Amino acid sequence: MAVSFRGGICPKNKTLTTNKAFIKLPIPHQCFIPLQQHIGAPARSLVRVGDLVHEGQLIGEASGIFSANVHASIPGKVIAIREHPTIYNDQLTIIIEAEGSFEASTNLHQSSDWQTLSRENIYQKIRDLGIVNLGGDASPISEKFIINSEYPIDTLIVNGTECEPYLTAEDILMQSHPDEIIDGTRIVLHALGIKNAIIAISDDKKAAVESLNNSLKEHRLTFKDTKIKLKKTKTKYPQGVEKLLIRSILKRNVLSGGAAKDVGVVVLNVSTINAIREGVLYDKPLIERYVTISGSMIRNPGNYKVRIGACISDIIHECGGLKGDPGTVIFGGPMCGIKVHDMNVPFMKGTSGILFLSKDEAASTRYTSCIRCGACISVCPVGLMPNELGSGVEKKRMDRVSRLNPRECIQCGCCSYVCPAGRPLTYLIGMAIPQDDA
Amino acid sequence: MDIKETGGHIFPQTPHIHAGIKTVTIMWSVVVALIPGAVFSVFYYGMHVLILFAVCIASAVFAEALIQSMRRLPITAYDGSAVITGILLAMNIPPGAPLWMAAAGSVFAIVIVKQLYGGLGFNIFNPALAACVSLEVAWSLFSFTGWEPVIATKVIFSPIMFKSMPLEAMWGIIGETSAVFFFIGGVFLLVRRIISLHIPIAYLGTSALFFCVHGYYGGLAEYHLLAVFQLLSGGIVLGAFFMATDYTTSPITGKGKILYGIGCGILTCVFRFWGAHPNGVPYAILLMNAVVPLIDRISRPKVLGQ
Repeated sequence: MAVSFRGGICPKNKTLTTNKAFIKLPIPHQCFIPLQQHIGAPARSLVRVGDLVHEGQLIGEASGIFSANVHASIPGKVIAIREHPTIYNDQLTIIIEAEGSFEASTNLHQSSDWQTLSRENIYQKIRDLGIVNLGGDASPISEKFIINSEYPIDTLIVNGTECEPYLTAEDILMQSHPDEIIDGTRIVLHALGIKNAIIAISDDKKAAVESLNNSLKEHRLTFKDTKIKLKKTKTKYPQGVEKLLIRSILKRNVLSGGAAKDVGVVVLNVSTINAIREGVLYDKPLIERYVTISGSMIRNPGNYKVRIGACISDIIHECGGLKGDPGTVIFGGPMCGIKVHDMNVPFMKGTSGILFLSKDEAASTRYTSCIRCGACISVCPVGLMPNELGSGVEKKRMDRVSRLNPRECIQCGCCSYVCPAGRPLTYLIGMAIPQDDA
Repeated sequence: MDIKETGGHIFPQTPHIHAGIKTVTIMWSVVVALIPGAVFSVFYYGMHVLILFAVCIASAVFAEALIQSMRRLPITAYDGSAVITGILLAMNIPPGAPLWMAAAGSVFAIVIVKQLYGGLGFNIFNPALAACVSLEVAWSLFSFTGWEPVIATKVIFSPIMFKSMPLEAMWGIIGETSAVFFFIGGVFLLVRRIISLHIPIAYLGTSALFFCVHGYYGGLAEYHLLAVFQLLSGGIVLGAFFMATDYTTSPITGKGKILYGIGCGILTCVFRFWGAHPNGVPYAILLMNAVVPLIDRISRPKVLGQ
């Protein structure tokens, strides 16, 4: 039985790339590596213009607990360190021009037996290798592992729901690398010192469910005391949001302002699990990731493995070019992703997809008045009244708005997606979230 | 504009895709759902009713365009909502109503009831019903035109019921000739998910129950048949599927819609049995329209994690 949550939407537009196996994009001749690809403080640059770096070399050092290391994705020469456009705003960026040989990626020898590593060793590796949460905000993972003594962590949820429309890379990852996902899950269980993991997967990913099930069956004997279960969720957006996932699967309520660890859960998505595995087993820093490149404007939509720092114009070129005007270009999914205008924006750790939407696919920005149809309320997974919040913000009635719990909004975008009047509800509610919270 | 600066914080405008169902789509779907009933009533009453529909629709659309251009607002007369108001008004007047009165009703509905309250989405009362009631008050519409007894229910279901129905007690508006066709239209709206089941079920269920209980305690042997007859006459079906479900003038949450439907059902029955008006539907819905803000206040959804 597939579990689910209240509300949500069911867009059906993953078909462009559901059957496309991973293709490795050629190494870009130039990489733009921003020092801040995560929430938190930017990393400190460790290189100077003119330095030669090898592939996977640490070039930016984390400054503080919410920061993350960054590594050179290609070998070469640092040609500049300057402000460069990214999806957020201009960031200090290390620009590397390819030169020399590619050792790291061709030399993936297993460096350690993870079972002999201590928890601290594994945490240290994750931190050193710049591995961040690959879904969403790219927050450093170590923060998730901070154990709250009041509620000890007892369950790991591996998020394979990939609920954002268009995105399929994690689906393909689970189909083609089930053993690696299960291995990675065991490594994280070991690091957390717990025994239970649940792999949540939406029920439309039939091939992925099958391959994971087969792999689980094969390896069951070697697991000894860990319990890894598969749990199907209904194919609905935004199932992957931590709060909703935990509620659907474990029936635990994350209270307002709380996080997963407050109810004893760690949630990691499958790409992160995969990156942790590669890091722990092969000491491979996070220099590339799987990504879906889709939308009707790109000639060869598909699932690709792309180096961090490759700029979008290079990626377009490698994917066969565009069918004309790029339309709406989005980093991430179409619901929560960020629209970009500059084709020099680099691919970053948190980029789960790059979409090129045509005018027909993209939402129009024109809107009319609310007709009180109630669609926004019926899809809101947290039970807000987006219509009232939206009109309150428009009229600047902040006293009324603050009574409608704008802080609970998870910015999933369902309300705007269904609004027949095309009102920018998600955006308006975002403006009502008090600044210190944002 | 994609990224607006608000006091130092940048909020990206998301999402980038849309479900594709627009206000215009919804409104024209309602028009389509009303067509079977309209066609049947034209077939039943003849050309005068067709002209009534045309006059109501044309004057509603024209009045909307006119007042919007006078107020220098964007003209949205094409969005189908004025067409719905025109059709619903025609449905709620007797087939013999004079054309000028129909036109006056349409203009009143659009200008006073809808646009002066702020237009689509802001009016408190259902424009068609408010106009119908004011026509009745202003010109005693129904006695003026001479009544036709209700019938289509009889045409379609005649053998089983109405043996003892006093015909002179039945009143006729265009919209009560074709309960079955409105039911079909209502199912179309339900299937297309333009309306939800809450209001029709609550409304029809409450009135059916009320009719049965009333008949039973009134000592009628065939009280269930009476209930079926009552449901099929006087525009309850039209009201439950098309007028009580008007987005703007009905509660916004499922819980609220159920409360509202129950209220409409009870009031309709009360008006029918103890009031001066044999139909009761317009008054019931208009009264419930007035309490929608209160219903909305007590039927807020529960916020997750609180």
